[in-house]
Amino acid sequence: MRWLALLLVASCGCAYHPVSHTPNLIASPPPASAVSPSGVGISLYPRYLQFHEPLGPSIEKWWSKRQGRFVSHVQERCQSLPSLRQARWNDPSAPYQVVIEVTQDMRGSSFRYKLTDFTKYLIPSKDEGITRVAVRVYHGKSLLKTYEAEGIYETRRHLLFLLLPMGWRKGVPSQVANDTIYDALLQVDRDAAEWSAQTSGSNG
Amino acid sequence: MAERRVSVSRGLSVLSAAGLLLAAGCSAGIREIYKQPQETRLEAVRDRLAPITSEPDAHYWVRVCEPSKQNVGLAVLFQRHIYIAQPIAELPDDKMLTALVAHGIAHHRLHHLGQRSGVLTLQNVVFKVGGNFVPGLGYGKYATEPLSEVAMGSWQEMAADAKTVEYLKEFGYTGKEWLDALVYLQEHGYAERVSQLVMRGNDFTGRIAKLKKETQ
Repeated sequence: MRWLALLLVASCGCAYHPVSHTPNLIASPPPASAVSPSGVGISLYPRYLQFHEPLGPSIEKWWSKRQGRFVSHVQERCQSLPSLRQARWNDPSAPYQVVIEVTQDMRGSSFRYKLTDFTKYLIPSKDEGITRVAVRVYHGKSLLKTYEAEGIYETRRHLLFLLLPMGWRKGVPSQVANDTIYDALLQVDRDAAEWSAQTSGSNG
Repeated sequence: MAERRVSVSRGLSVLSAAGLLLAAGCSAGIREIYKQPQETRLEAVRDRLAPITSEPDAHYWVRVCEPSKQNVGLAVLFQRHIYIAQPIAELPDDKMLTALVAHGIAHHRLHHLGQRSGVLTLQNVVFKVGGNFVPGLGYGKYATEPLSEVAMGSWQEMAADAKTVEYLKEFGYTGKEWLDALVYLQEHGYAERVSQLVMRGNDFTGRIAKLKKETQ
């Protein structure tokens, strides 16, 4: 019985599934921009919140922050978009600046979350993970436009083999983050011709 | 009989630890107001202040938060977060906002949160290891953590106050703006939170007196 109990505790975990996505341009992507402005600099600033408060520097939190790294997602998606393909990372001298702020947050009951953690998942809990992406495009010091996208996934913490054994899916938080970043960058790419024309008009 | 006493005391210590843990998790925290209109104004203040610091390219998350149960007016938290309560952010006084943001930046530039984390982590390790030799010693960290934060907070706040005045003078102000901001926080019952430590009311008295001497 002791081994069975240990096996049950060892098999606890989180089941994820995606919930919603706004504005969901990835469902039917707009045509790729024909414009590839020269001199685009990209900066990425991620932050990791838990129930609306910034995570501290403990090791477990470092691990969860590491799993939410967004740099590879941004680089992968920029390669697929003509207006951002030649963007340079952290180049403040570029005339166009694309500043990407990514927020990874959890919402739900923090009391229930701590109870689940303390009882090693014997008492299950559920919360939502949110990835919010805000992209600002600057020309020099002037802000041209702001774009936003949001992705939500649900997390259930329980003993997997007793409840919903098929509810476990791999890589959901990462995929939601990837899709949300893509959603935001698609908006930038769609409007690239507009902000490029806007600044060349003001320069001419 | 002795075994029953040990198991009861162990059970009680586990329950009390659980209660402390859950109570800590349930304490009123900071709640950001997403896309609050004053956020743009705060970010403009940040963008004007950042170039005069030692790391001008650092990105600070300056946001507006709800007035919490603890009535926190200024919160400086991990990952370079600076929160200002909504009623304060909506004041027309740009100098006060600049002083508050400068104080938050001062804490981050002086690495105060990192220092506190380092000390608390070291403390936790010591208690954890000690708990293997002395039963119950592992729970001692719950008592000493708040004491350590208070001890570190007192000298860190003095250093951050001095740094804030330095930033404000470089910015072209007199430095008295931070004194005015602290007096405002005290008079209106607001608290300042840095990491987990919350200061309010009489906690500001010593700092206000020192700033009055320095800015005269």
